[in-house]
Amino acid sequence: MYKKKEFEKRYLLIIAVVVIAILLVVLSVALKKDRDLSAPEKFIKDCGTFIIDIVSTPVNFIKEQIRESEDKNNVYEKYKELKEKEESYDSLQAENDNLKAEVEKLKKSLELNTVLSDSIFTNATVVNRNIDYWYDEITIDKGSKSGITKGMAVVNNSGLLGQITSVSNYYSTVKLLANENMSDKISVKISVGDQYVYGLISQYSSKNNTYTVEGISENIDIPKGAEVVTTGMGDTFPSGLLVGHVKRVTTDNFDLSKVAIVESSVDFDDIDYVSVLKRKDS
Amino acid sequence: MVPAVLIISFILDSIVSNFISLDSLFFPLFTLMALIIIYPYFNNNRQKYFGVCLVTGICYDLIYSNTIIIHGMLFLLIGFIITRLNLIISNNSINVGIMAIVCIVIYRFLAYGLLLITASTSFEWFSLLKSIYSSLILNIFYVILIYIITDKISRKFKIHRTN
Repeated sequence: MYKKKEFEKRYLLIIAVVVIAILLVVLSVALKKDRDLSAPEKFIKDCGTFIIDIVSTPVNFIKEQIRESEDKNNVYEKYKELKEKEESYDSLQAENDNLKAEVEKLKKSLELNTVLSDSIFTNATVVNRNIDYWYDEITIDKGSKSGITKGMAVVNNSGLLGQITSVSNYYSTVKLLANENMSDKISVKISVGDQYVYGLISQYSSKNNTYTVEGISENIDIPKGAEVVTTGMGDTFPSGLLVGHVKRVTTDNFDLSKVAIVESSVDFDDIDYVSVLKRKDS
Repeated sequence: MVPAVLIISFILDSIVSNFISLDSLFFPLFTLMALIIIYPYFNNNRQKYFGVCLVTGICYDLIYSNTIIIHGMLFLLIGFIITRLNLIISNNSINVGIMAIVCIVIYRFLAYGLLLITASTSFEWFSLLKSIYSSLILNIFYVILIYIITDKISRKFKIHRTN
C-alpha cells in the first residue's frame, strides 16, 4: 500500500514536471518575436482587422476633422514657419542634388550597386494600435500583397518609428521604438560638426519621449540639439533615418563612456500615416 | 446581449487605443471587462462561459498581439476567477467595479509573469505597478457604465440572468 502511494507520488511529480516543461516551450514559441504567422492566423488577422478598419472609419474621420480645425487655428504661425524654411529651400535643394550626383559618381567608381542609405518607400495608413502595456504595436493597411516583409523599417515625416514584426496578406504589425522593452539595440550616429559619434539605443522613456544612447566612447563634446540618425549597420534600418536630437549628455556608472539622452523626433501618440522603407539590397 | 457586449468592447479596445497617449492613465482593457459583464447571462453554465473566454482570448491574441494562446489562457483563468468572485459577491454596480480591480491586478501580474518566465522582458516593479494603476480608472468607469446599460436593457426586455 505504502509503495503504491510512493509510486503514485513519483508518477504525479513526473507528469507535473513534463506538463510545466511543455507549457514553457509552448509559451516561448507563442511569444517568439520572429515567428511567421501561419495561414489561418493570417486569415483571421486580415478579417478581424478589416472589420475594425471599417468600424473605425467614422471615428477616424471625426479625429481628422478635429485636427484640421486645430490646424486652421494655427495657419498664421505655420505660414511664418514655412516662409522661413522656404528661404533656405533652394540652397538645400541644390546641395541635395549635388550630393545625389556625387553619390552616384562614387557608386559607379567603386562599382557599388547599393549604399546603406538606398531605400524604397511604400506609404500606409494606421488601422489600429495595441498599447496593451508590453506590446506597443500598430497595425498598418499594407501586407505581403504590397511587398511588405518582416524586418522593414517604418518612418513618418518626423523620423524613425519602428520595424515590421509580422505580416499577413493585407495588414502588417509594426513594433514601435517607443516600446520600453526594446530588446534589439539600434546602431545610431550623432552628428558633431563634420564628425560622427557612434552609439547604441538601449532604452526608451515614454514619460519624456527620449531614448538613451549608450556606448559612446569617443572623447568629443556632443552639443545639445545634435542630430541623431541611424548608421545603416546591421540588417534592420537603412542609413540616415532621423531618430531625434540630443537633449543632454551624461556618463555611465563606471565613467568609462558617455550616455546621450536623445529626444525623439516622432510623437508616438499621434501616428496616422507611415512609410515603410525597403533597403535596396534586401 | 453577450455577443453585443463582447464585440463592442473588442472593437472599442482598438478605437480608444488610437486616441490615448503612451504615458496615459487610461489604458483600455475593455474586452477583459466584458468578461465580467457577460458572466451572469450564462445562468451558471460555466463550461459555455469558459469556452467564450477562451475563444475571445484567442481572437485577442490573433488580432491584437500576434501571440498564439497567451491571452486565450489568461482570459480563461480570469474567467475562472470571475466565476469564483460571483460566488462570493452579488452582482451590482459597485461589486462589478471591485471585480474589475481584482481582474486587472491578476491579469497584469500573470501577463508580466509569463513574459518574465519566457525572458521576454526584464523585471521591474515600477513597470508592473504602472501597468496596473494606468489601467484602473478607465476600465472601472467602463465596467460600471456597461453594467448600468446592460442592467436597464435586461430589465426592459426581461432577459434572464443570475445575480
